[in-house]
Amino acid sequence: MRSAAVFVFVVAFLSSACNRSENQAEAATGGNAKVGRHLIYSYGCGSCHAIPGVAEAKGTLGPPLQGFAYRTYIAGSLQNTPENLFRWITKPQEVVAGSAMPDLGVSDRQARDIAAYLYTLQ
Amino acid sequence: MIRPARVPKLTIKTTLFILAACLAVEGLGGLFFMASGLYNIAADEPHFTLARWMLQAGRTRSIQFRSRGIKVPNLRDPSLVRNGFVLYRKNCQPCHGAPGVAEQQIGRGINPKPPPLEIASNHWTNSQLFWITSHGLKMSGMPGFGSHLSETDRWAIVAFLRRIVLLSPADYERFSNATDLGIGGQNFSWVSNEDYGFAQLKAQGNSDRGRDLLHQYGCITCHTIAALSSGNTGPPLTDYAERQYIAGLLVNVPANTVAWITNPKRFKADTAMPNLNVQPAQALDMAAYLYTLGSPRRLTVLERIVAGHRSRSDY
Ligand code: HEC
Ligand code: HEC
Ligand code: HEC
Repeated sequence: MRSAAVFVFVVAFLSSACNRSENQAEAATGGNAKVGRHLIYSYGCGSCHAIPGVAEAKGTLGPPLQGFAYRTYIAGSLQNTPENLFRWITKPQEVVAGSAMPDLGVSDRQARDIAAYLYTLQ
Repeated sequence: MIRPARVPKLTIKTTLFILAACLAVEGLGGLFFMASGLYNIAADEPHFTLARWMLQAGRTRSIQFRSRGIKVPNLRDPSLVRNGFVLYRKNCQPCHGAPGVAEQQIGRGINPKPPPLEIASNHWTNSQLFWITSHGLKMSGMPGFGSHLSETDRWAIVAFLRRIVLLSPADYERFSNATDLGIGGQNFSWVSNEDYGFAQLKAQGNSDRGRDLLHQYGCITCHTIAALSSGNTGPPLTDYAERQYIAGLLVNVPANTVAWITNPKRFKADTAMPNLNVQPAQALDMAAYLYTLGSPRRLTVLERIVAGHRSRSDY
């Protein structure tokens, strides 16, 4: 009985913690994290990056994105803020000319959704 | 009174019957599932894990089996590599991209995704790469080039796939400029004589010392390394041996890891990774430790290619 109650509590806690991180990420970016995850899959970001929660995303060409919500810098040269992340995702070559991350043609709207998902990665 | 013989017979019969029934139901179920259209064939949705695993494992085994006995010619000829580069840019880059170059629209949205060959080539032998290039891969967007590229041209592409794994975006641009302008003669690095720091790493790098130095210099306060630390200022160094690029600019080989650690600002003026006055010998020890993280396969393959390019021997 007690253990069942503990189990229910733990599950409730975990799912609310999960929703909380998603809500925070969406509030910070104005994007939709679920849509973002789908976009990350279809743009194939996972062929270059390991990204938790995205199918087939175990690329080793660039850095892994696990724990990205807590990272201080983007590509070593931008503070990790939502605005800067939009900029990196839409125009990496403008930030680091000649980077191995090419411009992929992601739109501003899509960048918000993608950023929302990346900020759920704790 | 007791008739032991009958019981097992019945059991066997029943078991067989149940098995047959199960198979029939499963088969019908499978057929029904396929016919119903419930399985999502959309290319913008991932496969079920089991379906993905079955496709992958079957594909790998088939390529291994089919490519047995293919004879590999000399792949270290600079003019062959040059020719391979030109052919790669025309035939493969539109789908697979290249260092610093995105795939074109045609390569987007294919499922499975055409992987970047600067990392994927390392999973295959020369004859396997030749086989894939010649025949393509069923049930994926990878075309076979056997019918419209000559055998020499297909080997030239394989020779270039052994070179692309050591090219940075800047190198690739240099290659592109050289062929566009029709330059790139005898002294051009179509095949490189560099050793990329492999020999020194092997002779002098000490990974135990390296691990201690990562603590001493505070590297672990900025970087997550699975076994050691969880810093968030820079990217995680977990599985570092598998990573292809350093800071998006340099190919991850021992010489570049040492150069980056001793002076990161030399490569990226505004990088948040500070110059910590690490001496080259210490950086070499750190590199030795970092290269114990993750699968050693990539470095083993690169080391063999580098040795082959230098000694003009087989690889
Ligand atoms: C062709 C390979 C490639 C593709 C495709 C790619 N990236 Fe990257 N990405 C890189 C590389 C290389 C870096 C490191 C860049 C640097 O440090 O300058 C990077 C860096 C990043 C970073 C910063 C990570 C950090 O710790 O600094 C983020 C975030 C990122 N990419 C997101 C994405 C997203 C989202 C997509 C898909 C829309 C994507 N990437 C597609 C190669 C790629
Ligand atoms: C029309 C798009 C397209 C073109 C053009 C193309 N490929 Fe591919 N290639 C693919 C796709 C899609 C896959 C992924 C297949 C899979 O995973 O089953 C692939 C897979 C591969 C693989 C296996 C990689 C791995 O480890 O999964 C190799 C090697 C390869 N291609 C080489 C080449 C070469 C060499 C050329 C040029 C001569 C080329 N490809 C041109 C689409 C293409
Ligand atoms: C103040 C924080 C900080 C310290 C201390 C630090 N680094 Fe870094 N490091 C970074 C940042 C930020 C990057 C990303 C650089 C970029 O992309 O421009 C980085 C990048 C790297 C990379 C390349 C990783 C990749 O995926 O591109 C390596 C290797 C590395 N550091 C090793 C070290 C070593 C070894 C030390 C200790 C001598 C160290 N770092 C100390 C912040 C730091």
